[in-house]
Amino acid sequence: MTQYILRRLLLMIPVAFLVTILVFTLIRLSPGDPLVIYAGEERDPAALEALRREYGLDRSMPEQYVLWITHALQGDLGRSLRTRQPVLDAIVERLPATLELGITALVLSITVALIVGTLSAVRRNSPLDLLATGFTLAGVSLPNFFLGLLLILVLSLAIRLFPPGGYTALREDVWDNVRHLILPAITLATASMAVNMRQVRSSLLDTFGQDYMRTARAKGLSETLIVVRHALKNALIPVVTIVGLQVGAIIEGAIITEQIYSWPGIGKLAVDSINGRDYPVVQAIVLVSALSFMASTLVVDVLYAWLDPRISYSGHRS
Amino acid sequence: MTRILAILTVLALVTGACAGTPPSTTGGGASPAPSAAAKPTYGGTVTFVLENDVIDFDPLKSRAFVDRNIHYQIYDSLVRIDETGKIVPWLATKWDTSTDGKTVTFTLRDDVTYHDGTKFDADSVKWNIERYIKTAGSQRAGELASVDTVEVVSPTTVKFNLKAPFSPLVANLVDRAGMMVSRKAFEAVGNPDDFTRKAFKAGSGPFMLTEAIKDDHMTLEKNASWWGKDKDGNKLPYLDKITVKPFTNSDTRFTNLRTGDAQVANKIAGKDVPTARSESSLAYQERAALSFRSLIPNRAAGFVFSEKRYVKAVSMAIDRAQLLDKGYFNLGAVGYGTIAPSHFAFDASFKPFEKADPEGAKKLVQEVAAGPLKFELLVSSGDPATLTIATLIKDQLQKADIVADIQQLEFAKILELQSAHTFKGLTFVGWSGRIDPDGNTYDHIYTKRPFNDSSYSNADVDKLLDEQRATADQEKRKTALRKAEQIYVVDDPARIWLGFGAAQLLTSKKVNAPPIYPDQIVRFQFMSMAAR
Amino acid sequence: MSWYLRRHPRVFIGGGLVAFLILVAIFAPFIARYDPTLVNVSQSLEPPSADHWFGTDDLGRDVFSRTVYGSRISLSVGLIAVGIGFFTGVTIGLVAGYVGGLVDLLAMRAIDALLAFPALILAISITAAFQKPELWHAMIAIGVVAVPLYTRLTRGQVLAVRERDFVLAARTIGAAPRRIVLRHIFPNITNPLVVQATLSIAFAILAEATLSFLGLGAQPPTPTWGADINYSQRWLSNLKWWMSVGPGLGIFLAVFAFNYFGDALRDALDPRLRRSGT
Repeated sequence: MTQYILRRLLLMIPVAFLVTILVFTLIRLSPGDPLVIYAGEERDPAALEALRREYGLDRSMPEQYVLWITHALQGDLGRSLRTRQPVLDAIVERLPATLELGITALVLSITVALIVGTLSAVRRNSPLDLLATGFTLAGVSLPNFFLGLLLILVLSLAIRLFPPGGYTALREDVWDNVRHLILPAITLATASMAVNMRQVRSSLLDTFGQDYMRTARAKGLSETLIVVRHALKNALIPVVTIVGLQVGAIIEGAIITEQIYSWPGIGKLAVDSINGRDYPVVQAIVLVSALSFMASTLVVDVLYAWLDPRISYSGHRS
Repeated sequence: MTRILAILTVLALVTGACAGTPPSTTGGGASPAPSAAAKPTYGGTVTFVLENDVIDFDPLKSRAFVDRNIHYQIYDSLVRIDETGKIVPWLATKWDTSTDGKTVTFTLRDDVTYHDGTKFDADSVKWNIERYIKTAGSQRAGELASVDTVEVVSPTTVKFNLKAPFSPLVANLVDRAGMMVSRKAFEAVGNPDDFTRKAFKAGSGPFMLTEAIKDDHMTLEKNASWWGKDKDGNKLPYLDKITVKPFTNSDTRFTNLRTGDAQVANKIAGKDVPTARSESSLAYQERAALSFRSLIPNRAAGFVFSEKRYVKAVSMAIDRAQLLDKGYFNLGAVGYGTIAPSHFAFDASFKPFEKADPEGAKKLVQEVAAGPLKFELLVSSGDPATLTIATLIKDQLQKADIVADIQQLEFAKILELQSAHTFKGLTFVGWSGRIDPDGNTYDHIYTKRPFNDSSYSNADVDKLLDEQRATADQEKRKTALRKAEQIYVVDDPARIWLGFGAAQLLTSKKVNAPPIYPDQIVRFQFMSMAAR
Repeated sequence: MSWYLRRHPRVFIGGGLVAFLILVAIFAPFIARYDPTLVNVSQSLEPPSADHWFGTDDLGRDVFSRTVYGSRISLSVGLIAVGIGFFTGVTIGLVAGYVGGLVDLLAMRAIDALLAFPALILAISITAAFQKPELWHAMIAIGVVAVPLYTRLTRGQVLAVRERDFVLAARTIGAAPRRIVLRHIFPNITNPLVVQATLSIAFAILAEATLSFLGLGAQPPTPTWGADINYSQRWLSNLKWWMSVGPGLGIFLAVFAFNYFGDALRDALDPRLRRSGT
């Protein structure tokens, strides 16, 4: 097992390099000169030239890449072209907001999925089940930006229940923070909730048919005990896989939601930076996002093996 | 009996107290907050929703209009403007220009201290101006280009020696180029890149910057030792604290005011103005601003609009009134050039394209060559409002057989094309406006100046613009500017101007709103909480 | 085949929904009541009425007509993008899975890199990298994002099938690798691929809507669902909801149809793959 983990970790390195090369190339291919953009209204050609030299934007692409990667490996992700703030600081500043949103959405999603999914599987074909299945299909079919806009329209503008966007830091005012968190969290949670609900239900249905379940029933154990103790544990394995991937994709998932609700997280920073050609920021965010995704897939695979004793990685794995 | 008396007395006192407070001013007008009769309420905190986050707190580095909203609260300039747009004393009590126009002498206040306790004097002015001129990458160097040396004559007298006469100098000193920063505060931070994010308590203005968290909020706290006083001699400012929150979405800003989460906003969308006016908890003020809206043609050789009659034709065919109505929702005013209603050189009777004239435009195009006029109209892809306006324009031009092909490009790409002078038709460009008409005109119209993206060049206009810069006589300047405007708007158009923007001020009725200024910046020093 | 369908009525329903969508897209000019680009400012911002079933937008254009025409863009992007992803991904997956060794190692690392790259950012970056945003950029971007999925799926199936008897038999006879792959392996793995493709179209439609919501992809005045929602969202605060809800409904129906169809196919074609229950 350790060998497997080590091998996976080693493989992450070339992949990470490939990712950085890809994002580097793509963003620099994009038309538009970031310095002209950031000059805003008042452009002073001399000042722009000085900035260009300082950022090394007058050098060739490969040179720029080497410069960037050598600094990155030492922990220096450069300075934002737009705000001159060190990129690492910018990311660290905004990470809590995204994590708060992402984790809240994930917890919400898992909780509802577990409860409703289990009930749905246990009471198969009941009105609840049909409703839940319908919701599942609808949930993945509704674009999350549209859902977000609908929620804002109904719950924030028509009925002034929640604010239509914005953010207050947790350490400042807990209640205000929560007020602003509710709608974005629901929006973000819905799509994954639908997927997870479906997965819980189907995994449970599969386990219900298994041999060890019949054995448990034959033993005369109560239905609830059977469901919780035996079925759920085994059914959860594929669920863990999916949830694990969702954790790794928190940054990416939050992008649109943050955009609609003006939630100042990394997702919004990413979109703003791509539009503004803020190269160092985009490169850093993509790198962080890719690393977290790869780490989460590794964790999920290890967890999978640990949970399901039938799986072993010591052999050749396809 | 005594009990009844007591109750009556209490009632009398209470009603007396309530009657004594002045009614708060609402809507339309420009009257200052507290009436002369009663003392204004001191204290209170307000939340101000701003259209964008502030990137640079250092006036030297600042390149965005939105930064000025905060700069005006935390820094004092040598001079400022009053509500009418006239330049008035601020840190300087008076100034004289020599007859040859090459020396301007300022007399300074002697009762000003910076937030960190250091004294403001002529040495401070010298240090600040030299920093703006000499620092590499300074955004203020252009505005102070005419300044040769700054001389300290006495602690309260400072002389600017100019390389050549430059009448807009004092106007430039109203804004960031004239803002005074505490040397001690600046040197304490060390790195200029860091100072622009950490400029805490570095000015002498009515409020001090005490906190700034990117994309989250900024905190401004009362400067208890500010030198400013209101009409009755009461110390300003009245408020204790201002929390500034940036929201780029105008709907969010507006809703924050409606829900009471914020009390001040100075920019809301035109479509929301009727709602703002009818909302009982809010007060809305609006007036013509110094900003303008324009379409820039690429007039470089080889491009379709190098032919001036084509530009004029488009200008004739556009229905500016309809654009103002359906595109800008009546926010602002129709206009034809760079000189705004509050400028001294404005002429209200200058209305060259008052009514849309598609027939005349058609004839003009035919004069040049047979066949329709076709070009690209560039619109930034993230901007639905401009897309609506572009579609309206396209529709209007169709009546004159002019074909505008709307191209949505990313903002970055449009800027690139514009600064390289390679775009193929028209693009939308606005300008936030400057107090002196020179600031709205020179760098945009004069040959090869930095904002002259249309590659426009007209020798007569250049001459007139240089003329008006060199003389301090306002009448002479007005004549020259008016002559120039006739050329660069009508005879040989540099751009197609659509109109002027509006300054707005939306406040909760929980505060006494200060008067609204043509530069769109909120004068928080005059704001107080409304008495209950 | 018809025995299958009778046992799995949902395939019929799903297929019917998808067919309906395709017909709407093809016959848009007959279903829409007005020219979707017709500007009529005097009738702007009108709520749904008998004249304008979904109301009008701020330029007086009929929202229903725009929604109907929008189906053309969404469906064509969905089909072509998935086509690109499918073709490219499956090819790579087949080659990598069958040949193995260094080719497999390199190919899979490249695919891993694509997978680790946050999908939306990848799509945005690809569309942004072109000089001028156009519709086919969105198709390529979404196609590229879909490639890893098909590659892994195909490769996994190839690896599973590769060691089976009939393949080994073909190899001992000395059949050419290409023939083995195309004739023997590929037909055995079509089922999961078909299911995935249908579901991918649903995803592609969503992705196109998201990209055009962000201002990338098809250009105005072409009506596209995502762009129309982006364009009209500022009117929500004035409670003029119909301009956003119309196209939103369009997206929902299209994605729902393909999801439903894909699910039904999955249940019908291979019960072993059944992960979703009834």
